[in-house]
Amino acid sequence: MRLLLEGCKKNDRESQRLLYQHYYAYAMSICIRYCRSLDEAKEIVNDGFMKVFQKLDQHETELSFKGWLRKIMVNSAIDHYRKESKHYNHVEATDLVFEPAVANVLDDISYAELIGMIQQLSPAYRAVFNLHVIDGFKHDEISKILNISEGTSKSNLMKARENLKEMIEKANRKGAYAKYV
Amino acid sequence: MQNMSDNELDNLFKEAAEGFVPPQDASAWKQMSSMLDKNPVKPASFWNWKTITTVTTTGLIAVTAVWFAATDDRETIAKTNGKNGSNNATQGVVQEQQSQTNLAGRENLSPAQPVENKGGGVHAVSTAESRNDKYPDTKEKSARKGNTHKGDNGIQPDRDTELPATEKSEPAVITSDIMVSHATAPETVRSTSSSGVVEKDLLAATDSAESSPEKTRTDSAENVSTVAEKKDKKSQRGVFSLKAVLSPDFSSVNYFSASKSGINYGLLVGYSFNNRWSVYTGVISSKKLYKTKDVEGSYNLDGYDYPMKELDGDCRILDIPINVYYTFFPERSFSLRAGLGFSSYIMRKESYVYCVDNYGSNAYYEQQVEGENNEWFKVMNLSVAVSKSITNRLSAEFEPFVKAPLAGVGEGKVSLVSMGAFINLKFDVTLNK
Repeated sequence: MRLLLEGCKKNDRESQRLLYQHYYAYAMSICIRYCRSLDEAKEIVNDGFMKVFQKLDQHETELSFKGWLRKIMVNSAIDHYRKESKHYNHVEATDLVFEPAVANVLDDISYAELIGMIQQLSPAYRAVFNLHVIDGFKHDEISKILNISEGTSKSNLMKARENLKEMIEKANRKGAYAKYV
Repeated sequence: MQNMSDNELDNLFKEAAEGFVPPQDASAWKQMSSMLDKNPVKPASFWNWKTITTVTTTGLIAVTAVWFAATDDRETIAKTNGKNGSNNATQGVVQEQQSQTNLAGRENLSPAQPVENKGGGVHAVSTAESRNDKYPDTKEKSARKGNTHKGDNGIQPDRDTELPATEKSEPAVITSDIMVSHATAPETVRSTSSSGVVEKDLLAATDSAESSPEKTRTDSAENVSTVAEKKDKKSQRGVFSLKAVLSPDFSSVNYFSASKSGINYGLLVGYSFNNRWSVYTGVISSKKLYKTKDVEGSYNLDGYDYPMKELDGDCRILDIPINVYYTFFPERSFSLRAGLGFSSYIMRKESYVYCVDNYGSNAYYEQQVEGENNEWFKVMNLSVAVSKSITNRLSAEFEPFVKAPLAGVGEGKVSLVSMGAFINLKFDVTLNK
């Protein structure tokens, strides 16, 4: 891995390809939670990898690289959220009809369906839920990242949880959730 | 499901996020590759903007210091040359006048003049010359005394009464003075040694007469001592010093386990009590990078305590040191200094990445703290510096150091050890006492 990173620092395309392919799934697993579709997630992943290649000289070891990659991907997703938030239709998740967006093409169905539920949340709820619950940010940090108040962050988290519980309930009722579990 | 608690829900989705494996997409790299073609990544270079800024700043400080030092040296040389030049000019005038007076003296030489007068003149000059050889420090004084003997002989006017006229740049008087000497003792004047004595006598008088003509009547030995004092003042070391410092920074939670290099750069002000003891303080901007697996405790997130496995730290600090130095061998161009002191850390920005054990897998959590922790005198500084004088004012130093923690610093209260070696440029600011 060290050699791979050194190659990337020297702008070696083959090293960049290997690094990209090695960490693509990991990066995608982060980014897909912050957006609604695979194409959108792919765009964020590629933006994130561009930043990785541009700033790679700051990191040395594989372990810290993975943590740093996660940070870059989350930041890229937040950047994407900020850019696209003006165009999002702020519809409540309860108005959506649950459709497991990626479940049909994934091997790990239960996880995929749960990720699909996160994707179905409204952008604001989704961002707060991901940042707080999965990526470990505190509300004061989220308020700075998303430029919202701490109260809004807590409120969005609560609503996100409610929506997710409802989605799980709906899935149970339809038998879809039982089928995948 | 509505009965599911928030924690259960969170854990369900955390597990899904960790375990979710998205499919590989063969076309994804093609898109990435085309992006890289459109926006080629420049290979990592040593010359990034931070390095350029640091090197430029250090270079400017160094050039300024060298320029100041060189200017000071030039001024000293110019003053010395100026004096020598004026002396040389005087010398030239005197020599020119001498050559003229030689002719005039020969023309005016009367065969009727008494022979004993000639002998008196020779005696006077030779006496002065012999004294000068024995006591070079009193050369001018002796020369003058010798000339006084001429007056005593009644042939040449008293030298002391004639000198002020010389100082008022009245060549005629000098000429007449020399003319008389030459007229009375042409053999002596033609000899190199005796004319040298006369010239030196005149030069000393002219030199000392620059500031106040009255002083020319004082003993010329005082002039010699005054020049020596001036030289001493010029060569005296500055009481206050400025020091630009630059070093790599190897920080770790334990000694000798640093992984990444940060950087220290700053400006210090020093005060020398004497040529051995001095004290320095200032501000050093410091970037400390460290990583440790030797962490205890847990990372608390929403009431859950996750066992901490690793900590990655990136701290931007303003280091305010106060160090006392003792100089060994201060008289040598290479001197050795030992320093001891304390540092206060103004923690500008702390960035931490915690690696925690999350149900058997690694999870990473970040924390950033800005301007919340100021650590006063919690770090002890130890250093040894080798110093080499470049000019009278400028010197270069190589200073390996250790910054040992006296208490935990920063948000995590870690015992942060820093090591490195400063490359310093020290500029002495000479003060007139």
